[in-house]
Amino acid sequence: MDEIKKDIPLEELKNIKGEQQIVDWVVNWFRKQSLWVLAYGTGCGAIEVPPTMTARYDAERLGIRGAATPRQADVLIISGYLSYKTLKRVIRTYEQMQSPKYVIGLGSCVMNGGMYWDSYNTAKQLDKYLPFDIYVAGCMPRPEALIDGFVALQKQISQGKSDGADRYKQNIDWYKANQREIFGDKMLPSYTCDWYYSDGGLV
Amino acid sequence: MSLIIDNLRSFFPNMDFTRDSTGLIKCEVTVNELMTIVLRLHNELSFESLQTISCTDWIEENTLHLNYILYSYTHNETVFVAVKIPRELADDGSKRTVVFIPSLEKIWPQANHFERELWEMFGISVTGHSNLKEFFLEDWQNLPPMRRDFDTLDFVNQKFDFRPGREDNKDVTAERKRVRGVKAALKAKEESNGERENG
Repeated sequence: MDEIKKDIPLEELKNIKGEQQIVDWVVNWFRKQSLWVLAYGTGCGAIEVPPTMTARYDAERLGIRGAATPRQADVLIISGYLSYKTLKRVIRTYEQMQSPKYVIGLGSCVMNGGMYWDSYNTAKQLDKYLPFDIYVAGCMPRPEALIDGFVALQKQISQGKSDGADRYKQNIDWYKANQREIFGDKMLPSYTCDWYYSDGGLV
Repeated sequence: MSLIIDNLRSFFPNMDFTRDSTGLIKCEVTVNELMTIVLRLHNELSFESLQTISCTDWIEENTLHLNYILYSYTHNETVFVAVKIPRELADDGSKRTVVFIPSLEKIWPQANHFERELWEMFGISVTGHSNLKEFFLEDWQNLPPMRRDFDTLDFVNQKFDFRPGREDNKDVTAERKRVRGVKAALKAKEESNGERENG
């Protein structure tokens, strides 16, 4: 069986229905059972995440736990308002994470600036710069709401619908154009994202 | 009056020290006197700590009101040394005030950061400072953002896009009731159809 499969090109392998679907389902099941969250807090949400992880709400029973570095993490939580100065660092962090990677937006500031809608340095439309999978509404959402967001993310993963990393890769030019519009000549260096381009070219 | 006030009066006979209802001692000095008075408070009356330098922008009176908040561990007393400077900006395009305040970095090292923030956020010129460069902001070209004549809303509308909201601006509760009514009607219809099929 294995020897036969080696001769089939990759495109045809993707079209195999029966076995491949089972493999996908199993892989997704394993992925959703262990979500490692990057320990990176911006804004007020950084105060809501530790109770989620500790004894009272204990997110570890759902397979959610902290990771120290972007290379080990699956989930990036944008927790609360984000200034444009921090956005630069967040984008670099996100590009360092390994696929499959998911982004959760916590609180109303992530969606439209929230109560800082007229502030001179708070990002208003974050999905112009990063692909989001789940939004959790509230100001601030309680840990229950955050866990509910995680459960919704797990449901998405098991159905194979969480495609944030793919969207970022496919629309990389659009995301980079939006980022350049904000950062101007202080744009991120090109080596942070040049592997998104198939030819390995520069931005 | 208390001991510390008498002490202060004997040291600075020409100055007016008042104690307000919360027990804070306040006085007002000019920019040229500031360095001398603060140095004497630190050295001779043992006000060891500079807590912070606060700034208020009184655009109606055309002044920037600076408060140097000094605390003494020996006497357990707080002194507010107030300085009022005009808020006019210099003409050279640097967006900083005409009047310079002296840096207190030599007395208290933490004044370095406080003055850097004032320089960046309120546009106050500081003289004698060792490290005057951008602190919180990155690549900022406009007016200093904490001044009250800086229009944040105007700036935001020029520079950033907002997420488009709902166009209809309907009352959400009424809309939700309508949607629920439609759903309930559909469900009732389905149930009645099912009963007919079963019957």
